[in-house]
Amino acid sequence: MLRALCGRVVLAAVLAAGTGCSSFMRLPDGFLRLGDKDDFQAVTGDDARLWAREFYDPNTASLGFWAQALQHEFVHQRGYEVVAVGDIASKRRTAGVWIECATHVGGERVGYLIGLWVDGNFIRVVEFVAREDVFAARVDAVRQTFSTVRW
Amino acid sequence: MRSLVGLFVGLALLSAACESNNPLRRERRAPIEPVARQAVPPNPEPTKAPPGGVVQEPAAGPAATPAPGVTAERYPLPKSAPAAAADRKVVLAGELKVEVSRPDEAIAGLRGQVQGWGGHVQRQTDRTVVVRLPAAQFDAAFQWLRGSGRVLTESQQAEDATEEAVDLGVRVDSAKKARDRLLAILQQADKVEDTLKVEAELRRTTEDVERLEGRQRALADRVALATLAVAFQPLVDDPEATRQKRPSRFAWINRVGAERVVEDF
Repeated sequence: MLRALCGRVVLAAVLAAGTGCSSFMRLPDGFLRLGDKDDFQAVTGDDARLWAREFYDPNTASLGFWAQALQHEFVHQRGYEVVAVGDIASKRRTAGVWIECATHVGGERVGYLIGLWVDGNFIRVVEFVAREDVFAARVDAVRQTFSTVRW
Repeated sequence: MRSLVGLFVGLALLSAACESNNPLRRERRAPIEPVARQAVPPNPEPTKAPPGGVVQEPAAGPAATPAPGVTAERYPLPKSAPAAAADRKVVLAGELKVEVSRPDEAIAGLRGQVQGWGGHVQRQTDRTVVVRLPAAQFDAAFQWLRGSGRVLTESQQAEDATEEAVDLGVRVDSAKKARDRLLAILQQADKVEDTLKVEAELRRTTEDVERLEGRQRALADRVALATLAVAFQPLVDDPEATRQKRPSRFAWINRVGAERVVEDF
């Protein structure tokens, strides 16, 4: 509980620092940062969603482990189709992984992109979800902004 | 002296009465026609009295002849349990609904497996496949399908068709014998009218034989090949429900994903 709270405090500090001088991450064109949220959230007019979050996990594992666990969960438990996987580095040169998937939510076909970074017991993610056509039009721009994340 | 003679006569009558109640004696004396003997299966205790004490009378004519199987049904033969089990005719059928991530691949996989088991695909409608496979592979098929995805529903039925098989056998035999008798009568018929009547009856009986033999073949097929209906349901149709049923062991993973972003954003 305390660690989870610490995680949120750290994320809040990072995001606050980010928004203090510049944004936590550079937003792709067409995105609006939502100001009434604790987490970093942004949307487009056609309802594409971007969400940055940090989680604490008591198990200390590597980036490779978590990336594999995520893919396993997505494919074997939720039926996602993994479209592509790649490496990324944040603005602070922290190594990360992105995973692009396709799935259904509420009967609608959607695209899903997640950027993943690991720092000890803290797992940091940036997720991007949009309807299939909207996703296809925006995913490259969003992926490029992963390198501007201040983690 | 008179009382002594009376005593002897009484004893003689009593002895005669006892003999007439002896089922073994009675069986020996009963008139058994050749047809009736052929119809009775090789039963070591053909006229053994059932618990009620009633002895089955040998029939006087072919119509009432105890048919093969009927006797065995009423007075089970003293077979060993494995032999009796081996003689059983069981029709196996099963249904499965399996949730898989890629139904097309699962269907292709099942088709390949069924071929390997010596079976075949009976029909396929969208994502539901009905396969026929050797009964001996029935359990193996279920085992394989359980490993192909998440089983949503599963059912198995084993219908004992032994009685039906025996009954069909009896009816085929009877119909064939009736046909043989008609053929014999036909050869002896000298009037055209009689010939026509017998021929009509012969046609009907022959049709009966063919129809019953067809049913026998169909039943043998149902016994030899089990029927398995498998419906593959794509996992992506309801990922949220799946997620809630099988959450990840890592709590944070349960909080990320497309459905979480759509709902919790």
